[in-house]
Amino acid sequence: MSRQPPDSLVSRRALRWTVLAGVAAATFTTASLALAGFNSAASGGPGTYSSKRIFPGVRSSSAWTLRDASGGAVETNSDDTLSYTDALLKTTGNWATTFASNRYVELDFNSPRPGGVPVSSAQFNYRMAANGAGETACFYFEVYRESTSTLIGTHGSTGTPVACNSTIIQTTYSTTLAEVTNTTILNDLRVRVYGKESGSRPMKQDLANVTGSTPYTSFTMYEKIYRDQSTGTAATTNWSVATAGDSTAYINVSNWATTFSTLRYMKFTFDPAVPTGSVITSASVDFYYKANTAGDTVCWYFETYNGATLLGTHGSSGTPVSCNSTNAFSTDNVTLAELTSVTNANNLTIKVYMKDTTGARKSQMDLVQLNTNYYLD
Amino acid sequence: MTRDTPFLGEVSGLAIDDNVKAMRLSPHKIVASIAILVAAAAIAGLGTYATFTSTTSATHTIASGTLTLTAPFSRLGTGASPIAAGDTMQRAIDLSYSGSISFSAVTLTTTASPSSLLDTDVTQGLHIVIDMCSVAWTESGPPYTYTCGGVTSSVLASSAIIGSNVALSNLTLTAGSTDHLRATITFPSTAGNTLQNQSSTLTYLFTGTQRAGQSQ
Repeated sequence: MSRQPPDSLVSRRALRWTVLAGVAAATFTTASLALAGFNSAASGGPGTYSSKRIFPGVRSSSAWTLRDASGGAVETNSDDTLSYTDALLKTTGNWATTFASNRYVELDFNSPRPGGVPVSSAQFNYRMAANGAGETACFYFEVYRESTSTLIGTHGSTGTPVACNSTIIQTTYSTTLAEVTNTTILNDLRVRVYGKESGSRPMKQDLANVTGSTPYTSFTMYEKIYRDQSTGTAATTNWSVATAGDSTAYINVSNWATTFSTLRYMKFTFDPAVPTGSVITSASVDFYYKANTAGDTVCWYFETYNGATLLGTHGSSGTPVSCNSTNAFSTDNVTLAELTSVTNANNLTIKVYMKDTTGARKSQMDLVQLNTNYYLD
Repeated sequence: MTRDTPFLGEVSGLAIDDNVKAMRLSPHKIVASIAILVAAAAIAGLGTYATFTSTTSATHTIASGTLTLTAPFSRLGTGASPIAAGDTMQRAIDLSYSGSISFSAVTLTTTASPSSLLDTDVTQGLHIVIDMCSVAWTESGPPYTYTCGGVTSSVLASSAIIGSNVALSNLTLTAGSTDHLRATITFPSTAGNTLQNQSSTLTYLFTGTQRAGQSQ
């Protein structure tokens, strides 16, 4: 029995595939013909839909710039010590000479930004010096999401600190926070600074804030809660007027008079960083206050300014915004109809006049906050 | 006895086997013979059955109809910017069945190019509802809004803005008629900040198919 030559095998395969292909084509054609029918189409559009760059919403920001003239004489600078480069310093507890995981200072920042906006060039600015001459203070830090305590970034280490300062001259160290990519993270920010001091002494801190920019504005984030665990034991200090009901309130440095005086006031300056081009649809001020001495009655009214330019007056010496004779904070919210421009919002100062009609004593302020409802097309 | 004539099968000077081979017909001869026989039979047959003949003819025309879907009026090319969560946009479009054949169905396919979260986020992105009015919608604006002076019916319940061959309900579909539609595009109030600063360009394609075949 002879075997067929290879050529013949190839031919048979080719023939087989050809037949199969033919059958498939025929089947497709038949099916297509069976399913075919007339159809017609009409189109609409195209139409383009674009969302606002920033959705409408209320953004709240406390005041970290505070001038106290309650005594009727010079203004006392009562700014938050860690928010600005100035003469106001915050001294830590005593550090160890080596880094330790339980020795740090921790800062939770405010949340004034509209969420979901890209952030660029975010950086942590830390200005500090050693306690005394001949000593060296070093630090490195970690970045967390405040809401979840999730670590999102580490900058430096025990072996390689971000910086050391061997002088008593305050020096600013700015570190890029690549992990802060949008305002949702920015509004949920915690920074934990690990330190050591060669003399087991404190560090002197001048500044601890976060700066950066969005496509629409630059910003500064201010600390609202400061936890000093440099000694290994935590001590928490809230910025006095940033959070209501936190048992931390600002008490003015001098006594008020029993009557209003234009020389006796407190000034609160806000930094809402409303983007240029935004439309402000409403604005208001929260002012939570009470007398520092139970049983006293304190009253207030205020003016709004952009620099030295008066924008509006709310209440008066004859008709205060309110008076509070209770031992609970009065939770006043006053609409600022005059605050319609971005420039005025970003430079807003309120000048609060108070009096203690009972005993000419001090008052407490638990919350001073600007609320702006705006959007950006 | 001698034979002068060879017997059948015998050929003078040839052996019997050679004689048989000589008589074998070739295939060509067989085919030729059959052809001659068939031709002869045909001639004989024709002669046998020939008679008078007469013919008549009938003609008719079968012409196919036309199936034509048009949009003689459309606001779907009007976008909106900038929109915020909770915004709604109304746009009217008339679908005209202007051919000679009625439709069995119309589907809607929407596409986006460029695309963004406005069309890819099926929960917080844009949604569409289509209603029909028995008479032309009364338009006001821009921004466009519409009121119906007749009877409204639902053509498409709330759906994500992007869909492929989505069936539309309650359309007239009859040749020569027009359906007056109103698309309401909604940006859900639940849309979060991630949907800020997004942009999508939407195209709507209405595709109609003919009615079922029937006796004519």
